[in-house]
Amino acid sequence: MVMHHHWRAGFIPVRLHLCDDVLCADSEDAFQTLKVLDLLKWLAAIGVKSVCLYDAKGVLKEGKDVVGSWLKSGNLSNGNTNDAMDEQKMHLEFVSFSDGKLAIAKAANHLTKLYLDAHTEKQKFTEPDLTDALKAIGGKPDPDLMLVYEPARCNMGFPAWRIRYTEIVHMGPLKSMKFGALIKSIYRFTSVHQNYGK
Amino acid sequence: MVEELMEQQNTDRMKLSERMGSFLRKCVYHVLRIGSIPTHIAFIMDGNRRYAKKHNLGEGAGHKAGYLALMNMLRYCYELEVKYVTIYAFSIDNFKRQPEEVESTLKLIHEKIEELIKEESIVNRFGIRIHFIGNLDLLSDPIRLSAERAMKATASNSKAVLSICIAYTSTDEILNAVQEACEEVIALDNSCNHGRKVIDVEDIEKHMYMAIAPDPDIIIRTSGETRLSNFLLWQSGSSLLYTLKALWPEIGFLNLIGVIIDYQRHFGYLEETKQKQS
Repeated sequence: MVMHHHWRAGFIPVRLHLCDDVLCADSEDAFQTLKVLDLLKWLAAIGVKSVCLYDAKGVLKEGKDVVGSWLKSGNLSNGNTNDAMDEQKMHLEFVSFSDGKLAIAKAANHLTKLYLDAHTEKQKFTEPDLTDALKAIGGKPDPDLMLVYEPARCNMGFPAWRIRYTEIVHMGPLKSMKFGALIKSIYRFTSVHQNYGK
Repeated sequence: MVEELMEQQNTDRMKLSERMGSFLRKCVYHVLRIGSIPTHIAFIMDGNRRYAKKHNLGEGAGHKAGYLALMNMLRYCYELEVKYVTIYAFSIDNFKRQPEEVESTLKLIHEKIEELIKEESIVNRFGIRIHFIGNLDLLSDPIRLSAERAMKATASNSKAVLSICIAYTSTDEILNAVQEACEEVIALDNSCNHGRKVIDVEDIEKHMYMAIAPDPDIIIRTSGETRLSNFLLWQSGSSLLYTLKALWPEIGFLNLIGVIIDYQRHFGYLEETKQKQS
């Protein structure tokens, strides 16, 4: 199919963020995790190269093992940069609320320490300085597209520094997710023209 | 004589139409107040240039039409007793546009700031306090001085707040807050021998330009675009993000009502999200 060929050629977003708040009850966790795995399979089939999974509480982070066992089937990498990466594999990242504002506070402490330890003259920090500080404490690149699988369109506290120009699309609750809606959203994304304020 | 009479009749018709419009709006507000009214609404006013192109208007005409739409939106919000309204008037990124366009947009902003300070303007009618939010040092002296005069002139107004984001991006705001928090720690470190203070989220938040308002309940963007374009990123964690297909100069009363109804539908979920993040 032509569309399938385009995704493999790299016309698709490099980084895709899924926003899902997994509920507390065990059975809901299991159900939601299965849904997330289905979603990852669809994204892998479409050819998305990198996915960031976000939930405010960090339940998905804690449930990495479940996804890990699926990793072994060879479809995904676990984000460990020491592993040899097959170009066909999808890179996976897990993010929670603590990677947002708290990370900025950590980056601020990192910058202060660098300044004080270097005993330099008073310095005016720049945006690249803060970006580098965030990278130093584990920050990753900005997602191009955010798919929100929640009752309302809300970014749920996803790290603010990373969504400056991210397209944010509401997909409805995870339990009602449809492959057709996913394809439509990604297709619409490819036709968006950004002028970045110009 | 006949012409004067016709003009008088037209004026009377317009006044009657305005009074009827106002009465109908009050009826709608009465119904809406059964549910929750947002405390803070933010607008990304996108589509002025596309509007001008769509209607074959001259340079700057889109922004002028956008200003009229803004005045209407502010009136509706304050009539509905939304206490805080924030608008994205000019981004730091917008300085990258063609110099003539930047100059004409900033000139229009300057004119409108001067109008806002006047006694009969919407600002004094609704008791609105104005804040200019952003890196104001990037603005020319005349505009910055007008902005400072507007803030001073409205400092005693207390019924509502209008935050005008100009020379603003969220990343610049966050960076500025981080800078000020770091400078506090450095000053403390230089003045005493106790252990180094650790910066936490509250230390950064108190230095944000938008610390003068609660986080927005709703962020509305026009023209069908789905991104925040570096606007209120820090504050938007539990905001309802709403995209309207209408271009900014086309936005009207019914659009606002539709957004409020959607907000009320999701109010419980949004409040829960806010609690989880606090």
